[in-house]
Amino acid sequence: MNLLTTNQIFIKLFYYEFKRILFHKFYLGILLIGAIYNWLILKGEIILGISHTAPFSGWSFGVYLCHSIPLLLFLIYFLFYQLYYGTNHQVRVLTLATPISPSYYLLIHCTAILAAVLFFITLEVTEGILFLYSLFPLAVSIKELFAPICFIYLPVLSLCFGFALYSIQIHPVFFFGSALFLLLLEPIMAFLLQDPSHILVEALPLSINSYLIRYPLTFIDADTPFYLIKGMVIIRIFTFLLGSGCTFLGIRKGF
Amino acid sequence: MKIEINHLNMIYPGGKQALKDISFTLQSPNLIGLLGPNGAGKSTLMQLLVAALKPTSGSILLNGTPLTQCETQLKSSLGYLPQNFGLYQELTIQQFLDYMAALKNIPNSKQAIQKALESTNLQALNRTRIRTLSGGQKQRVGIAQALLGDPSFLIFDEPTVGLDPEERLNFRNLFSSIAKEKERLVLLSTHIIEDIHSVSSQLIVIHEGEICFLGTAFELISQTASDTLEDAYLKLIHHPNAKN
Amino acid sequence: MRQTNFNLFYKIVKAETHRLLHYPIALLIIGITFISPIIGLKLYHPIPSTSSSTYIVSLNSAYLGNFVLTGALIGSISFALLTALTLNRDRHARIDPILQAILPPYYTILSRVFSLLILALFTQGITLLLWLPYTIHKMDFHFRLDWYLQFYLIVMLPALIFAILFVASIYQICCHFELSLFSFFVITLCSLIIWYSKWMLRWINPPIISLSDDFGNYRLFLTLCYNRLFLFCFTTGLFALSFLWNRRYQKNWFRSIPYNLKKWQYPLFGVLFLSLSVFCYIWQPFFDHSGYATNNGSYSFEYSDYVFWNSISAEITPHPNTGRISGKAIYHIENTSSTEETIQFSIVPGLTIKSVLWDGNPIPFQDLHNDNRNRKNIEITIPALSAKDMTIVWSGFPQEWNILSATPGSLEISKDYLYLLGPTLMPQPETFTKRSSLEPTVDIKITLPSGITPVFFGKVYSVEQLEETKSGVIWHITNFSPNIYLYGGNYTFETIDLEKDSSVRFYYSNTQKDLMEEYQVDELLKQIFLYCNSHYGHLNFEGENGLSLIEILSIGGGYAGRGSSVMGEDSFYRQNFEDTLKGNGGDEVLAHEIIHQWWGLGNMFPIEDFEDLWSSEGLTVYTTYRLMKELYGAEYAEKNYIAIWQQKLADYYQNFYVRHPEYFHLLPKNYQDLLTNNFYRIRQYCEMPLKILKAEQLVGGEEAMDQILSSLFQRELDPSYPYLTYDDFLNACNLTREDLNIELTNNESNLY
Repeated sequence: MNLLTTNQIFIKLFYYEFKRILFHKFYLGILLIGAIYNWLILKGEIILGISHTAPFSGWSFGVYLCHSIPLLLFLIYFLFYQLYYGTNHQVRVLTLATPISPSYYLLIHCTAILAAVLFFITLEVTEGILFLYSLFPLAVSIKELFAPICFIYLPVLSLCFGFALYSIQIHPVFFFGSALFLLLLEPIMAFLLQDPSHILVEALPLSINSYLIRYPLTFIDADTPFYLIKGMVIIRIFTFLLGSGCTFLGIRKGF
Repeated sequence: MKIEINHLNMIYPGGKQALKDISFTLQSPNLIGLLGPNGAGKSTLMQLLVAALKPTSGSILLNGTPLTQCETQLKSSLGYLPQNFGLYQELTIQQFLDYMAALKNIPNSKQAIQKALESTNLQALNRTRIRTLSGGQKQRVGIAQALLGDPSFLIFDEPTVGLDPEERLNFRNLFSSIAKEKERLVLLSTHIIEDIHSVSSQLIVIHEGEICFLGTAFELISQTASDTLEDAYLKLIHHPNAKN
Repeated sequence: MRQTNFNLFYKIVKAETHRLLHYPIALLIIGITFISPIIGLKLYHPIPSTSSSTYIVSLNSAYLGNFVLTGALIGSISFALLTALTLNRDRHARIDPILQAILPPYYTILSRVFSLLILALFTQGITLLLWLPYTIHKMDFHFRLDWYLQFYLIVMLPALIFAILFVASIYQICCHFELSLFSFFVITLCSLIIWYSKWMLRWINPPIISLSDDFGNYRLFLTLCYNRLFLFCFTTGLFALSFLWNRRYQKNWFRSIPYNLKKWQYPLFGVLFLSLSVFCYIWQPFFDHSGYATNNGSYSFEYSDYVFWNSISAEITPHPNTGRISGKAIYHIENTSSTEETIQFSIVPGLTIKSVLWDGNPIPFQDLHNDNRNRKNIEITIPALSAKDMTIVWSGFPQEWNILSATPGSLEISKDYLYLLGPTLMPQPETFTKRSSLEPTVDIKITLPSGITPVFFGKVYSVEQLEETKSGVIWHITNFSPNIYLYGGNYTFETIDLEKDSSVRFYYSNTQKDLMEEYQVDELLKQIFLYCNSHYGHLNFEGENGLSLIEILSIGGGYAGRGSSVMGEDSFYRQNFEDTLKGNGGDEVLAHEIIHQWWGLGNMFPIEDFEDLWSSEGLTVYTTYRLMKELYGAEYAEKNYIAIWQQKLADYYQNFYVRHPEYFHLLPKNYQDLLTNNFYRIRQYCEMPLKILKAEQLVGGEEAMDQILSSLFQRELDPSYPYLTYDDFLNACNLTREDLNIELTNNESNLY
């Protein structure tokens, strides 16, 4: 009897899990609301250019991306909540009796959640680019926008993922608490350090909004392409690793 | 397949003792009926058998190996229908069984699904979304997923709840044939005594976490000097020492 | 039967409340709500600072406004979560099918929502008591219990109630924990960000820009009450309507509707309340419909050559309890034309004309409803060749200019404060003028609440207190023009003597007396006057009444004219005076407004000149800088004035659209307008002072510039064109436009 390969199982289960999220009415709702919200941000703030930079620069685009971070956090936490307390919870009695490894099963779920979140991000990025393209067709450079997308979203995704996954396995209070903590990280850090321009206040929170707004003001040439200072990069990488660590630990605990 | 249960104790974190020093052996082919009033510890015993819970003390041996060491082996030959379970409402029956087949790592899933659908009389509904099914139909989907891949050890916790009399009869026969013809080990927990009477070869009665009878239905009737199995069961529950 | 139902409902609510109080998360949420106001002390400041350097707000804003706004935000989020959790918990406990079988329909959800509302009320009550001692301690004699209760109960409590009702409605419609919380999240974000300029929709952060310490907060309170009324109608309506989707007999949301329609009272009630909220939204009485154009030229009219007024006598009564005003005025009007003439009065939107009598007989009139710059016109046709008395009776609730809808509360009419300017006070003759007369033929009797002292912007011929009646004190005012700006408050005044018998009268709130004495504000004022008088010359309109400086109920700047200069109360916040070296504090705003008495009153400057940036602001800002240099030293002035002008101008030149006009032209028209306005303001306030500073260097220093400015200030006026133009300035300095170009960057702007 030739059993299924691990890949075949993965693909099949991933397919079903992703499809379940994608056609969930809540997910569709958040996509729609996100699109409207983003449009308002683009129209209200980004179009004027952030801190002297072009609206189509990595800086302004970064601020645009930062605005949707609370929504992204909400989405990730919602999907994990669904995983542990929604229908999945009741189906778990059946899946627990199957030979699949709990960690592997959780990994599949996480991949599906990640795919759904990436889909959300893709739509958002596309919306931003289309908006800019419609106004300044010749000026938009996808290459320039790539760096802010990575530097903003990778740590955010990793940290939200890690915290949500790890905390939900401990207790719902930790789960909601960690969401609140992530949302309030910036005022908490600013309060602790008593300096709103401290690099930890700018780089550690999910949103690096304040860096994107403050830093270009120090430029002599405001058309300087997007980049992160060394300290920022280190802290963002640290954030990413911290989130990845939590994710890894969470997955090891299994579903 | 042989399952040995030795001095099993189970105390929940709240302090409630669900099982008290239980020992018995199950061997295939066999259809064992598990009887007991509400809260007797039937479901706890079943969850321990599928490794969904860990016992406080005692051991479960599968073909001589402790369950803790051969959990995957057990699960890959297990079909389990719990008392309360959920289904992915947004999938069709076919999709849900396909999903479960992947989890159980069943090769030729299409054939396996077809067989399970036939056994549970769900072929006509296979493309229906689970959300729209009736309670009885959902129960049948639950049974179908347990039958997937023709497992050698089947555990059914109250499988016939919500089914009409005709369906109940069908399933009773199905369980019996699985045990006899396919030489499987089937553990069936129920309140409905007639479900067990006609098909089970062995009977376990649990009361307040303890086994108060282990044997055949005939033995129980004769021991309690009753006319029917129902009488015997009631006597046993109300006067646990009556058999002596 | 009804009595039994009521009893049953009462019992269920009691049981549910009891159950809630045993729910650990509910206790946690009550705890969070208790504590939440204190977060407004340091961590979260919803009320914006009046200073750019540090966080400075009034005491009421700091210890009441920020507290209640933070409490509203955190409390309502907490209660929204509790509502969703409670409803979800009960649904998952699957107790509803049992309860529904026993109880009349809807009792379960109604009782749960009621118990949540009771819990919110209880929490609010405790929170209110908990912070009372602290607030009293911090605010000292500025504390007023009525304001404390008003703002806690109108800002925080309704926010909790709206959160509960909204989440309960959405939960009832979709039966989905996450979706109901998500919708809540969305409307919260909208309220905080997207609806910032829509005062009615701001449910979680009602529009409070400042709470007054010195005057009144009644108009703001009334505005918030209306905001709450609208939202109450909306959420109640939504909740009642949501019963349409109450799941019945295990049907889905759609199939349950027919069953729910049998209980038609609920949807009817819902539709009624929702319609009421729409009605409230559309016909709100607080703001007019002027539109947002602040400098469009369309507001023009022609004076009639044939119609004149001779005298006006009026009796006006502001109603401090309702914020309304009513009055009756008799205008003696003369039509010298042989045909009928149509004349117009202007009045503030919100006031309505009840009747117009011509020589005792009613005649038709037309309210044009043409709201523009916070006034509208009333059109009346009067017969040919006649000179009769026209009696106009009006009353109403004056509306604020809708451009200010995110900062409501300026048009105060209360027992604490009155703000009655021109067309708010009475209908103003618009298209006809006074028959030239040197007599003060305007005679007004106004009833003001006792304890209120009227202060006037500009000159009023005479003011006397007549008698005290039950409804207040009657004041008798005579004047040459009916266009009187009256501020009424607990004013006290101080006379500041300058050299040569001239003096200045400084009116400020009685509550500020200690502060004024402590920080010698009179001394600051004296310095300003001495400086400007000695450098530029005396103000020619310091008449018999002298010059008056008035503190008024407003924040952010002030205005000057006709021998008066008014300043918002933020100029006198204690924090402003505590460290004058911190930057452009309130005392400097004060100086700026007073200096406008020299530069920028009446028709001194031509209509704003976009080309040359020449306006009253350039010279005023420059003079303020010079004064501060004299008072606090060159270093201070360099840091707080020149450096800031340069910084702002550099910002302007750095702006992406200034550097790249080719992209500016790709922007939609409304964005181009917005940017143009912003740019112009920066250049007017920062570039022009720098140009004058450069001129100062080119003409040979400060003394030379002072002489030039003095000569310009005291120049002979050409009556046909009395304006001081940029060319006048350049000629006096013997410079050209090019000489004064500011070179901050190589990128030349070619936007203009």
